[in-house]
Amino acid sequence: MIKTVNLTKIFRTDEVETTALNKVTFEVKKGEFVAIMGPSGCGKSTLLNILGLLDNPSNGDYYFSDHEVSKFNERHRAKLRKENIGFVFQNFNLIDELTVFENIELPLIYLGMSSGKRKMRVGEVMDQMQISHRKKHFPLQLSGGQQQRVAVARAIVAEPRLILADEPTGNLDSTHGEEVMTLIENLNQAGTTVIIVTHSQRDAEYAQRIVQLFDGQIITENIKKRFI
Amino acid sequence: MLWNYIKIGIRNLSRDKIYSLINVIGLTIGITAFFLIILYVQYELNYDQHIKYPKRMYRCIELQHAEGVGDQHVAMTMGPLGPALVNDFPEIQKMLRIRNAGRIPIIYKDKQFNQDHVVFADPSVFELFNVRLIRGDTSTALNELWSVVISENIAKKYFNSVDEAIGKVIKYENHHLKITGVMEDQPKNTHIRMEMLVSFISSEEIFPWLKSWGTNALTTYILLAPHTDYKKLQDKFGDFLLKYIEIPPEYRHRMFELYLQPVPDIHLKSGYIKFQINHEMGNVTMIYVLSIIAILIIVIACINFINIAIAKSVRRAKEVGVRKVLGANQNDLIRQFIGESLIITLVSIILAIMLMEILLPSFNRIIDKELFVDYSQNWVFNIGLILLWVIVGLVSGSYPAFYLSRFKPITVLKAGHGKINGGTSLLRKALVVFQFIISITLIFSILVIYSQIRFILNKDLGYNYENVVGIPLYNNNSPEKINLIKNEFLKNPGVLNVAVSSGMNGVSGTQSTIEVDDTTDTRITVRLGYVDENFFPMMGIPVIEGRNFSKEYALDRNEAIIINESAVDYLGWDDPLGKQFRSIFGDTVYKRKVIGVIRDYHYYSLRSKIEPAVYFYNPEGMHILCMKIQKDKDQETMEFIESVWHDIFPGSPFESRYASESLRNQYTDEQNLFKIFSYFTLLSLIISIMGLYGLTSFIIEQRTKEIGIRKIMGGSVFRIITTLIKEFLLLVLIAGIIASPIAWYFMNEGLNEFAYRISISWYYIVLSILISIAIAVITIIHKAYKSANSDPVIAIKYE
Repeated sequence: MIKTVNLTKIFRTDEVETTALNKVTFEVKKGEFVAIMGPSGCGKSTLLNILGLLDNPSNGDYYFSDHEVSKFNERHRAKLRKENIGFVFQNFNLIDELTVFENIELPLIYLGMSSGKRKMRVGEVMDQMQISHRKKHFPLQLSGGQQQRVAVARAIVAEPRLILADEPTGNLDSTHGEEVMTLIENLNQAGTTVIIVTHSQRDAEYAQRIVQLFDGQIITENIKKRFI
Repeated sequence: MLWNYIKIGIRNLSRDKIYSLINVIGLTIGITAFFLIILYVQYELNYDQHIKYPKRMYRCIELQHAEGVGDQHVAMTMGPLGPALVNDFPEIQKMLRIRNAGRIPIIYKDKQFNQDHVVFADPSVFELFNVRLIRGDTSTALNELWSVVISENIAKKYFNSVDEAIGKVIKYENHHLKITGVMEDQPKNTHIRMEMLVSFISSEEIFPWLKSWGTNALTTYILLAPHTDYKKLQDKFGDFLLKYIEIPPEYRHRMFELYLQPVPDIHLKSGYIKFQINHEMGNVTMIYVLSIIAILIIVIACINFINIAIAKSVRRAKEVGVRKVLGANQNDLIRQFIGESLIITLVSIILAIMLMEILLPSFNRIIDKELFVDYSQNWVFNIGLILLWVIVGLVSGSYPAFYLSRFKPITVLKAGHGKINGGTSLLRKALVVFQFIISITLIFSILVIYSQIRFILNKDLGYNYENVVGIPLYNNNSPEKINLIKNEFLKNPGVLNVAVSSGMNGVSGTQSTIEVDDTTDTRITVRLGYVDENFFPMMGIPVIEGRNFSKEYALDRNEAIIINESAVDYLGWDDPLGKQFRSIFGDTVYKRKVIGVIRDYHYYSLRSKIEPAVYFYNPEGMHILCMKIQKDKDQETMEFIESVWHDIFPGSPFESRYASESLRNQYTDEQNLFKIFSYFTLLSLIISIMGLYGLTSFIIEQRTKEIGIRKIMGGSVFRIITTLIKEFLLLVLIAGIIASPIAWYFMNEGLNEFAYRISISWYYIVLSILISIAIAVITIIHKAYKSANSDPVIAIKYE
């Protein structure tokens, strides 16, 4: 589903040049659950941004569903994004001015779905995430765990083929963290490809495969026993 | 999608209440002011548009080369001019002569009225000025001697109904006027107000000289055939006049030039014309100035909008990021932000229309007009409204739209907020400077205009008109009656002195050319005044050479003349006493000898220089009683005066007016301009201050964390306030440097309209800058103080 070849990302300021990713080549197959781990600053978020089409690489190729997309313009990337990828962030990134329902509905609006269909689909997802009773609340009225569940609901509402999660449990206590990870695991088992970036060994355990990054390079692509 | 935008727009508004209020209130006030000004401007531009052929109607103007005065434009012409023009030029289809009778006493049975806006008019007035009759026939109503057409308003006032009025006879002096028609009330925005039309031939009956060339005493209007080039027509007037007015070749240079003024120009573009009928004359410069202010006010409100949007962008950035991650492209976001600003603008426009309707009555009172909006008819206003909505919405929304929509989601979602503001601070500063330029210019202008008005009102005019009351005599000016009433008045100790004259300022309002009785035919154009022996002493006008008029000299009445310094200066006389003037009237030559010279005083407004003036001692020209009364007893004295008046002139309406009031009335234009100007300037200042408040709030909010840390470290907030103030001071100073020359230039131009003006001093600009600084500093301190007193823990948690 995803393949990168010699993916390189260099950040330049006036005097300093930082190589965030250094010739990263790796692949994620359809239906896989991959965790990317590594110390702070190793480039894992940068990698996730590029995989999520939020950023372009400086060099190298990125194949998404067999299409080379690294040179796509913003309009193209936006289209690809809204049709294929769901995002979950550490700090939830819900829009404070919109209710739970409206936050979840947003991706469907950008997909141009009709209002009736949207209502139905959002209803389903809210049931699935057990947040229906919070439908009219605003994000700031919810606990962290609930907020992240809304974020997950929003990520999956458009039924994306790929879910990218950046430290999804980073702002949650362990109980809520586990809940969210279980949700993600269930999605994966239902067929969605998942890539998460995490510091937490425990979160990484949910994945079938752990990729270790260090100084912008992949040092291991350990395939876990469970998968074999 | 749209609903989603509206929803988030409204929620955004309600979340940042202060900013939203600044936006909405600022825009609302701005748009209201804009509407009011536009209505006013529209009203002024629509003067005389009710007449039938506004584009083909012209008023005849004379450019006179007046000895002693210089070139002057006069919209008064001679009686035979109109008929001669129609006779000689086929392209002139019709003419209309109007002679203003002004305010005259009218008597009907036991009722007396001092009737304003009475004019003598040719019958063509009905067609050319589009006067419609409710009763009567336009083809005959003004054909007979002493026939009169009155307005509906007057008919109701005099006779309670329109039908009652027809055929009634009213009395003006010893003439009996028969009402032959009732006309619709005339619109107020016309240069000539008409409540009563008297047939023109009646005026020729009273003043037979109107039939001959010689005296400019009426206004001549002409209607040109369609597609006539009036400038080409004008060129033929020189030869035309010589056909009718005999003038020896050596005096041709004295001949006036005749030209045409389009009737729609009369209201706004006649400031340079000296003698004319021009009711509530407007000023085209004022229209420009107000239009500029209207646009500035809107610009200021838009700048506030943009400034606040930039300030809020920090908060909106996250939303932009999230929306982009979820698949929104740049166009979606541009649409969203433009949509939001269109909504805010629409809300403001609706509020502004309501506010305008609430304010219109008071506004009308201030400017003494009757403005209103007829939404079903006024298409200019309606289309303007939509244009305003779109333009303000787009302009205000465009910057946030294009700026915010460019944010890269990873930058705003990950990197924190710091990076976002770098690029915009320069723009924000530029906008603040721009706003201060406007504010400083406006404050400066207010100061200058205010000082000029004060200067005019307080300038020593060369005579003492304090506690002088004038009572118009109209035709009650027989010497016997005047003597009688003078003596009666003086019996009251509250009356200190009584004089009679042709006007409260001594002169009669007319001008004449008189000849010096010498061999070189020296001529001088002078103002004519008629005064008795008490006038100069009572008004404190010194006779600097010779003597005043006196009862002791029997010949004074017919042979004496007093002249002012300006006349002496023009004639270059070293010893004016005993010099002789002559004037020819019909076959008689009148000669008058100079018996005295008075010191120059400003009998007219300070807009013009003091012109040569001559004074006669003839009671026929005296139409007003002037008396000096004791200040503390004015009320009882006035009551006494009124009762004496009614005893001596039973049946004549009594009126009185303080000289100081009439004098001040000469500057109504300036005072009105000042009023309107200062109200709107104040408004734009308020909007600017609101914007400034929003901006400082934002900057301080951004530094809340810094303030918190400083407090935890034991530091004071004094430093952060001083740095903030320093930042703003710099901006205000830059604005001051840019604003000074601009403001100085425009004000200097404006002051040049006055013959007597203040000079613009450097401290006006310093004061303007200081006021702006004060506004900025107070805002900053107020806001920073609040923030500094908050709990530091809350402050550092702020992210």
